[in-house]
Amino acid sequence: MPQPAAKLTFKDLDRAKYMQGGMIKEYFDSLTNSRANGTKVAYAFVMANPIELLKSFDFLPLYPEITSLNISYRGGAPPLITLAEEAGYSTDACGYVKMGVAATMPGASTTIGNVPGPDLLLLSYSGCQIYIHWWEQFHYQAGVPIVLLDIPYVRDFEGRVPRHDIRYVTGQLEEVIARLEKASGKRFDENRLKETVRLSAEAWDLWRQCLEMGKLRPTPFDAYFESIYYMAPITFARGSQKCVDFYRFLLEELKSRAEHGVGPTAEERYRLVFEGVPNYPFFKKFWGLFAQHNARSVASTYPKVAGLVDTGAFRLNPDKPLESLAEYMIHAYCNWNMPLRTNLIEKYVRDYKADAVILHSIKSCRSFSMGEGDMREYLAVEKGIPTLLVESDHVDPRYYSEAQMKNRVDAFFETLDLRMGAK
Amino acid sequence: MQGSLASRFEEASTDSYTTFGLVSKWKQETKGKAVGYFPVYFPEELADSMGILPVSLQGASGGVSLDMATAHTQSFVCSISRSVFQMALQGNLEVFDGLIFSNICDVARNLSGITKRNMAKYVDYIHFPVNNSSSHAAAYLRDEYLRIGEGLANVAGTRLDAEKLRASISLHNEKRRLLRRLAALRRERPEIIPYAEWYSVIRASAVMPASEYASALASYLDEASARTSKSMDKIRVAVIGNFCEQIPVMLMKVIEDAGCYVVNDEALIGNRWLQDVRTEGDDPVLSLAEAYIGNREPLTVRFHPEVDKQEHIEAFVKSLRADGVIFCTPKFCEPALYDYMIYKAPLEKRKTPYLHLEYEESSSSFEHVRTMAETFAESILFD
Repeated sequence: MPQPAAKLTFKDLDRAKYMQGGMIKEYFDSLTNSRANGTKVAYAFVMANPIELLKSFDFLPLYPEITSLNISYRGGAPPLITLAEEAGYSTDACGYVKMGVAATMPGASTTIGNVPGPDLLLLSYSGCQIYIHWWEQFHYQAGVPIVLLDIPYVRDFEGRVPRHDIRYVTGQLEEVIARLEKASGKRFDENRLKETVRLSAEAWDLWRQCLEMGKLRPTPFDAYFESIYYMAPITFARGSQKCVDFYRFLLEELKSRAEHGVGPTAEERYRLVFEGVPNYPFFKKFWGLFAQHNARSVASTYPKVAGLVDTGAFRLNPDKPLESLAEYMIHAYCNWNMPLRTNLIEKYVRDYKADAVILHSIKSCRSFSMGEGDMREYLAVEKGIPTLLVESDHVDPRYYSEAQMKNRVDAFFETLDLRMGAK
Repeated sequence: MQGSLASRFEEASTDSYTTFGLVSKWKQETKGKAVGYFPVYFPEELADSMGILPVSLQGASGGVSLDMATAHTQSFVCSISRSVFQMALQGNLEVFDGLIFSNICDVARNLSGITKRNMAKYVDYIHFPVNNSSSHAAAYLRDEYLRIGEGLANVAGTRLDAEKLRASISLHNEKRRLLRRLAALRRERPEIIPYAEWYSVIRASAVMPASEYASALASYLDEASARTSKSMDKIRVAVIGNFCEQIPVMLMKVIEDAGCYVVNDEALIGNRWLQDVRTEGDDPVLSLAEAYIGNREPLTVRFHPEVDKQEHIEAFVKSLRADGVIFCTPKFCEPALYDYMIYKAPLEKRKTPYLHLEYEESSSSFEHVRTMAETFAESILFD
């Protein structure tokens, strides 16, 4: 008589994170060895980077946002921030910029090892004005050329994108190809780009399916805190079979979690939508503030900084690689105007049947945070959705007060309990 | 300054903080419309040619409380964005038929959206090209101006007309030439134009109708040029950083009193930054776009891939015959803070003295500024 299948635990179904960790390590190793291997390093941004083009020319992309957050996650932010501030950067400047610049200063050491300087600065200006200023710092510091892609903001409050925006971005992509040919010494291979775009499209679609698992009740994953691990491959490994394989594995793992009724907390008591960049120096403690209440995020905006894949706003198309890349670059989360962002959060609350919204506002990033108070007004006052707005920073530990944050979060859950009990 | 001219500029300047009574009066008299725009630059010709008065919103400079705005925007954003938003929330901007923002920084960008959500008005946003060396930039900006033109036309109940636009471009070319003449006069003879007066004159450019302003400014230039004040033993300083949020006039007076002639600053720079726009040719909208794209004069809020800011600052300081630079950066203004890092490196290399001060538009205590500025001036004078 066949034995019933053993019930799997959360630990059994938490392998994708480790797989992602392995991919990150491999990626950081490739960065460390880039100089020795003669690989050219192109600095790029998380938002709206056409990694598919860089890969077509064998550039190794380095994302100072990712290196900075990883350094910060491992407790390495303070010495770099101090180094930058001693050089003259303001306490009011973005922590990512300060860490990114300091990591390549003479004598700097980081918790992830040596961070190679840039051979090329690919500036995809989408959703963050500071991207421009940051790359200018590198440009003047290292004398490295900036290759620019100017991505117009989605400024229509209904979300319409004028045709001249698409023409402008597509035209610039053609110009960038010529610049990359010159910088790499390699000819552009359109078929190679198409294949990279095809692999990216496949990964994006799998990632979208993973994110939509948050609609299940209970959600088999935390769509904010766990997504922060899961979103890494779509950012730095997009356009590869390995990336596709990762999201296929993740999707199966999340399905298994649902089947076995396991998730990242003992039970699902509250369903939350999160907005904002996490606090990396205290990431696990910050997560714990919500997890201890058995609260799980069912949807969040932060994983969409790399692309608003779950809105249908873009779809990469190997037959129209440049035009579809242009659409992808326009639809980065912070490149949407505030009413669109606020409406998206409200839609998440509806579609994912969430109980509340958490807005984590960070001092460093006005792109994300400026106007989050207005989001709270709209969601809480006009729509009656329980909403908590808390402040700290994504990398600078000086702006995180553990006791104060805990008090705010605990008090919020108390009132949420009262409200849910009253329903 | 002559009494009547002085009072005209002063009245217009004061009115442009929180009251906008002159805008109401102009609307009543002309039956026209008015739009407010957030700094730094806006192609005023587009509005003016359709009978719309364009008014630059330069902040309340402490004239309103920031409580409501801070609740919507966070405490770590600059004061000008909060004071403009506060005025939008509490009704000071009711006189405007529309508000226009642009991509000068993340704060201004998000401000456009939350303003739209809180005001039942026409609110729009211009994405000025950043890739100004792209062969597609001018055509893009032309189309963007046409899009904005449609929005303005809806406000005015009219259509963008090429001939009227050409006439407006001519008028604004004249206004900008006069403003540049004023800047040159102060650069050459700072002793004849104290900062408070200079500020009143240029601040009026934010709100007065272009034709009226150009005429008044021409008269002012004639009058000021004839002055005979004696130059004093002061250092010549360039102030950099006040391209958006306004420096309190009292702070600049403190700098002057500490022994400095301010031979350059960036207050309302957007109103004189553009060079002459071509008036010949079939497409004046394209001409307006090309003038923006082709301008190589650095502006902190506008990136141009072919402009070397470090080379510029060295040449600029030399052209001003400035003894030193005072970086005045508004609190929380990241663009100014990053440009400070870019600009200070070549100054250090050439041993050009500089001083860094922070301010907010509502700052009212300047004793620390006095001490710093006096030390700065003395260190140069007695070097």
